[in-house]
Amino acid sequence: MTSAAHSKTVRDLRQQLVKSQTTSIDQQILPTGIRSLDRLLPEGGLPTASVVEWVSDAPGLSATSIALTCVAEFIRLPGAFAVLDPDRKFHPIALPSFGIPLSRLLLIHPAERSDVLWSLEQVARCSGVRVVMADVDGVSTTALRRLQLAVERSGVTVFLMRPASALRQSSWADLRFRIQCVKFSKRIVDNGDPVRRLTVQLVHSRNVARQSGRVVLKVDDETGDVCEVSELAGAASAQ
Amino acid sequence: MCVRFPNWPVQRLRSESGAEVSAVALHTPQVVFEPASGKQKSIHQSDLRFIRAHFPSARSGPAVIAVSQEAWSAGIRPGMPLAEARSMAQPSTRSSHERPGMTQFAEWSPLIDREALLKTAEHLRSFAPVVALDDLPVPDCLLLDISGCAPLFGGESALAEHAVRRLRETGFYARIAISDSIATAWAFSHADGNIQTDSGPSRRRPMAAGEQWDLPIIIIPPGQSATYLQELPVSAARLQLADLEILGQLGIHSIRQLFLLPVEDLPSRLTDNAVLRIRQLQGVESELMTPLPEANPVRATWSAEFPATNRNEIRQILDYLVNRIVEQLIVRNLGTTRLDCELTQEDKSTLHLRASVIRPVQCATLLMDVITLRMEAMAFRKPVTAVSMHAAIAPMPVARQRDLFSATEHLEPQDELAALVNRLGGRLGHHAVKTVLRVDDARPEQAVRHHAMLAGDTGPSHGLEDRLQDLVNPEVPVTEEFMNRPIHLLQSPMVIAKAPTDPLRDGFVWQGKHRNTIRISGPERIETAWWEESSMHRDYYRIETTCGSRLWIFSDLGSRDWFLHGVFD
Repeated sequence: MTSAAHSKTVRDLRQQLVKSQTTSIDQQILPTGIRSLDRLLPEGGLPTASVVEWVSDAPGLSATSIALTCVAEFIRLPGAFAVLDPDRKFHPIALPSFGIPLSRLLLIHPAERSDVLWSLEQVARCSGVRVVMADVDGVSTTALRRLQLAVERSGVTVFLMRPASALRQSSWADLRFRIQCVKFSKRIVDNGDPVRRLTVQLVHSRNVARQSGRVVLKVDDETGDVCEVSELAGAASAQ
Repeated sequence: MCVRFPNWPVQRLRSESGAEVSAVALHTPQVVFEPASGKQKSIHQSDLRFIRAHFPSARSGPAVIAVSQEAWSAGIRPGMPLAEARSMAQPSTRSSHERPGMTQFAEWSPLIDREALLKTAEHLRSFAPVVALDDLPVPDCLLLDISGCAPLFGGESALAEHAVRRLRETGFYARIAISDSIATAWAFSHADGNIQTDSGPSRRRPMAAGEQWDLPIIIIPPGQSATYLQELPVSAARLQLADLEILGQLGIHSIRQLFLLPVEDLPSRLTDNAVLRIRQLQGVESELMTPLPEANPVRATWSAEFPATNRNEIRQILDYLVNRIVEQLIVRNLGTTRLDCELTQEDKSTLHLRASVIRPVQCATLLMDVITLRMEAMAFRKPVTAVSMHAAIAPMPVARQRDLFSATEHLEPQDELAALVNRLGGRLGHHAVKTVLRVDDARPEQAVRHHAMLAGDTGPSHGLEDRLQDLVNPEVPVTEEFMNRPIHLLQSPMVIAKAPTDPLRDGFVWQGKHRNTIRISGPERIETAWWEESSMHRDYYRIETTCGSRLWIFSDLGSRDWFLHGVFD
């Protein structure tokens, strides 16, 4: 087999692989609201009908804020924004600062931990929901796979907010991001004030054609806004 | 919604008399005590006091309290002593153009009037599941909570027209007002200047030119009650006669003038009841309705000599009862939003099971699905000997025709959401699924109000269809003001340092690790007014720790202790 024929075969196989990974529902690509994050993703945004994990190295690193910036883009389409809040710590008053009206929020308070995954799956099956966000610690691969099957039919996007311990688990999610804080000593001083910076790393992608990489974001402490600073060179896309 | 029956004693008497009785005058009893037994006649003291306060002539003997239009034309007026009224009723001259007038005098029976009003309430059940009687003496109106019901009739206007038509068919004339609250709906329905037992034009206070409230249906758009209330007379504020007289002496004749009175001066000039009514009218104080029990409830029961011993048997019994309930609902063309089940166990203890759905349904399958989910959260440790099931009735929604020719079967997003809420509520409980509303409260813990999607004890959830529509509508704008607040708020603040320790300088321990503060923003002082029951005085700081976490902490200005309240995640 010649080299050209070999390359063509590999390209055809990759296209078939990508096709086999697409969902049964018409998937759309929506911007994240942060341009550098969009550039990290080859389609230029986040796919609907997918499961996205946001893993934070520590609480208070604005992982939820970054996810909510994406939610604000998603709810430009019809559908509710659901939040599963078993610990009753979600404070909706902050939502308008992300451009999310309070009237779009469906808040669900499962009383028992055992009801959280069941509730999440029910919400993931409902096409009246556009995006659902949930804090989950341990999620079995079976549960994640059920979520995936559910969203493939309904078109819902699931944002799972997970602690750093989730990195030890392999991921069945479509995308996994890791949020870390740039150490204070390594920060760039901006107008005399060491601005807080985060790195968002695309750790895993189910679609092998998607490249991994990381971006650096800046957090405005006055407004809480997350905005881009620069983009570090991503790893080469899988060839 | 307030459904007022003007001149109710006369309307009631006319409907019962059957034959066309034109001129009618009702008077207080000639003898309050029955001569034979020496007992007082059955009459509420509050009703008698009310009438005697409005008609001083009734204190010394029987007096007329209500007249029909024909009797009014004959010269009989409410408040007139009975003897004088009878003499007015005798025609003094006759001419070829006059017909002899026959005014029928009847004894006023407030208890019978009240019972007739309660019976009339049953005619209005099909419009709203929650119907209540006005709690004032000598009531002349019914109060309905039509939250979520209007879309089932095609809007509030259609609902009110239906109600007016239905009441006309039963022989009653009603005036309906729809507004945001009980107090304002009552005010608009009584806005023609008449007091409760009044009839006739002479007591009607003249309205300003161009203002006409004497309409069968008044609907005030949401949020605009305050604007239109200003135009009404003070008699529409549900105040006692003594308070009205004081306000009259002060030259206060309109609600606009009433609202301009200094709030702190009201308790010293008016009664506690008046202050409460004014606050209810302003929307500062909430008001609850006491729903009338249904005269003919939809219920089903089961009991047997051999108890149900396992979950499957209990499920079959509940399935049987649900089908009996649905049969009754179909016959009465009603739906249900809630099934309340009481299961009596062998040792006479009871278990309660509630299944709620977001919209009225007649579908046994859907109701059983929700009941099955509820049962999964319950433990049945003892055999069940009896089960009683009661349905909260609600009007059925107008059927919508689906698109027959669509390539794929599809539902509106809000219909999908409604089904989701039913399933979640079935398993998690009816309080578990909520929408939220911003509240003007300085305390961060109270800054939002949670609003359950499923029906509670007082009937359907408020504004349900609007909320479902808003949840899925991408055109809904952000109307709430920006507030830099953490996305995670602890249910109760956690102590991180006791006075005189300063965590901003010395750090603190959180989640098992010592945290040093490297950046501080603040303070932002948040405090409540001094007269608030649960007052709060705090200086909040947004801090960043060495590991990059952004936290919301505060110093309590009273104790000087430090607390962690939120996380900017």
